[in-house]
Amino acid sequence: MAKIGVYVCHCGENIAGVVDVEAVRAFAEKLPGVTVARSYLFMCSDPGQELIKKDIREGLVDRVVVAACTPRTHEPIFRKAIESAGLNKYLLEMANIRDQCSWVHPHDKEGATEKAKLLVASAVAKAANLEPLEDKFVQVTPKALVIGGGVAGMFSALELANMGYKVYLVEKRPSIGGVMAQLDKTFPTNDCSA
Amino acid sequence: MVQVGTNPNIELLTYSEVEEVEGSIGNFKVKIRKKQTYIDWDKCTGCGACAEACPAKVPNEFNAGLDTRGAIYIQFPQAVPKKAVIDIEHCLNCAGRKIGTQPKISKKTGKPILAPCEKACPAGACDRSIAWDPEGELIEVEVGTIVVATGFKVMEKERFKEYAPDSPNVLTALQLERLISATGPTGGKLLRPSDGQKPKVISFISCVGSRDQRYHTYCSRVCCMYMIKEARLIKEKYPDIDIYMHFMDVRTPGKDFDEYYTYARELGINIVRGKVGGIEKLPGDRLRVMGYDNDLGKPIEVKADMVVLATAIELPEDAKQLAQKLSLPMDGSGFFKELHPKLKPVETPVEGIFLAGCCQGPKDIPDTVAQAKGAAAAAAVPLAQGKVVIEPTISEVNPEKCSGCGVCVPLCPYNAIKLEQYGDRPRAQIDMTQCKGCGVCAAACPSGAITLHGFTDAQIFAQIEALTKAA
Repeated sequence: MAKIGVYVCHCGENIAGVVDVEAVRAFAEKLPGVTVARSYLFMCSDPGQELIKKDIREGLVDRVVVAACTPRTHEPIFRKAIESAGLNKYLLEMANIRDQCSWVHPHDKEGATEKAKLLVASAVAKAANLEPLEDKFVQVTPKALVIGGGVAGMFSALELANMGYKVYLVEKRPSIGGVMAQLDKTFPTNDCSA
Repeated sequence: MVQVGTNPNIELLTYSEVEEVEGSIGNFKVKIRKKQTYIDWDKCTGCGACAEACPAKVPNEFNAGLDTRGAIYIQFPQAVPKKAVIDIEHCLNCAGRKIGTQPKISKKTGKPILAPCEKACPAGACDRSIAWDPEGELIEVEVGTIVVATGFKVMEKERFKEYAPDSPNVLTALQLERLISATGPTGGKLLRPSDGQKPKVISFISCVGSRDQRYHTYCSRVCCMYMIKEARLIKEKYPDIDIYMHFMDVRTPGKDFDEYYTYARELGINIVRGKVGGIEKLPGDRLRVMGYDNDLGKPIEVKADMVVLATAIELPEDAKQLAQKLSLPMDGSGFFKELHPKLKPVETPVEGIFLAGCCQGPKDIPDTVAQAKGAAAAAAVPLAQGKVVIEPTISEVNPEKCSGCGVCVPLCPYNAIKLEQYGDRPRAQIDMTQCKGCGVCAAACPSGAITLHGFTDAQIFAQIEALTKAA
C-alpha cells in the first residue's frame, strides 16, 4: 500500500487568500492512502522542500502530492527534491490549486476551497497508482542553426560560434544585416549600424 | 557583419530559406533551399559593374522603394557576402540572352553578342550560357538546436488613407532613414522626393498602426526613440529646419534614452503630445497636418513640406509559414510565442528551438542583442551537455498486444509512429525522440497495446473516480 504525503502550499496570499488551506489539509489527511498532510507558506522554499524530504527520509511517505501552483514552472523543483531524498522523481503528482483554482475563483472562497479538495483528491488517487519511471537520453549533434541574419541572428550565431560550435546561419536575402543595415545611425549612441 | 562573415565556425547560407524541419532536440534534420543566384559566387568579386550595366528598373527594397536597382544587383555597398544575384523575374533578357541559351553570333564581327551584364563582368562570374537550375540547390544539415531570429517588417504607408499616402512627401520612418543615409538614394542629402528641394518644415507622427485598435494594440517600442534620433540628426545638420513631433506619449524608458530625448528638446525640436487625425495635400506639394495638442487642449495645424510616419512593427508573412514548419505557436499580437513571458523568454514549446529579436515581439537593438546572446546561451546548453533527457512520460507499445492495424500511425500529430516488422507481422513502434506524450495513440488503440506512462488507464480512472465520488 502506497504511503502518500500531501503538501498544501499557501503560496503567500496567492492560494491562501482565497482557498482555506487548513481545511484542504485536514480533508487530505483523511483520504485513503494518505499518511501525512502538511501545509506551509511557500512549499517551494528550502524549508518547504525540507518538510517533504524529511518525511521521505523517515519512511513516512513514498508518494508525494504537492498542491500548489503550476507544474510547468515548479514540477522540476519538487522532482529534484524528492529525488535527493531517495525517491524516484516520477512518484510525484501536482494539484494546481493556484492557476486552476484560487486565481480563477477569487470571489468564491467556499467554492474554491471545495474545488481545491477535489483537485487534491484526484491527485491522491493518481499518486496511489504512480509507478517509478527512468529518464531516457539521446545524443546531441553539436551544431546549431540560426534562421535570420539580422541583429538577433548575427549575435546568436557569433556567440554560438565563439563557444566553439559549428553554426549554419540562414538568411533569405543575398546579404546578412537585416533591417539594421538600412539604418544610418542607431540610438542611443548614434554610431553606425554596419 | 564582417565578424560574422569571417568566423570560421559560421557557415553563411545567404539567399537561402528553410524548407523542411524534421526531428527533435538534439537531432534536427533541416532541408535548406539555396535559391538560384545565376552568378558564379566563387568568381564574383562584388565589383558591381554588372549592376551598373543592367538596364532593368526594379523598386529597390534596400532604399525602401525610393529608387530603383537593376535586375542584377548587389543588395547594398557593405553587403556580406558582397556578391551579385540576378532577380530572374525582372530580368529583361537583353540581346535575347535567356539563361541557358547560347549567344547569337554577330554577322559583322563574328563574335558572340552578349548581354550588358555579361559584357560588364570582368571576372567571368556572369555567364548566361550556363543552364542554371531555377530551383537552386537543396541541402540538408543536421543540428542539435535552432535559434529563430527572423525579424520584423514595418507597415507600408498605403495602409493609412487618412495620412495622404499617395503624396511622395509622406514617408515612412524607414524611408527617411534611407534618405538621410550616405548610402541612400540622395547620398545622404535631405531632399524631399516630390521636387528634390530641401524641406523647411518636417512633421513626425508616432503610433501609426501601433496602439490602435484598428491595426495593432501593442506598442512597437522603438518608434519614439528612432523618431527622436532622426529628428536630432536632421536638426544637428540643418538647424534652420523646423521639426514638429506628434506623440501620443513619449516613451523613452531605456538606459540613457531619456537624456537622449531631453537633448532633442534642447535642440529646439517641437514636441507635441496628441494624436494626428489626418493630413491634407496642399498646393506646392505641401501637407496640412491636423492634430491635437493635449497640453493646450486645442487642435493644432502644421503646414509641412515633408511628413514622416512611424509605422508599426509586425511579423512578415513568410515568418508565419516558417512557424508552421517548426510547429511554433504565435501569440495574440501575431509574433512567435515564447514559453513563458518572464521566466522562459527565449524558449518555445518545441524543445531545442529558441527565439531571438523582433520575431518574438518589438524591441530595440540593445534589447535584441541581450536576447540574442541569451538565446545563444540557451541553445548551447544541450550542445554542451552532449545528451538530452527525454522524459519517460511518453507512449510505449507492447508488441505482444499490438495487432499491427496501424490506426495509430496517421493519428500521431508528431509522425512518431511507424509500423515495423516484429516477429510474424508489422507492429507499431514509437520513436521516443519524436513522441510528446499527447496520448492520442493510447486512446485510439483498439488492442489496448499502447501505454502512456504517467497517464495510464489505471491512473486516469482512479482520478475520475475520486472526482466523481467526492462530488
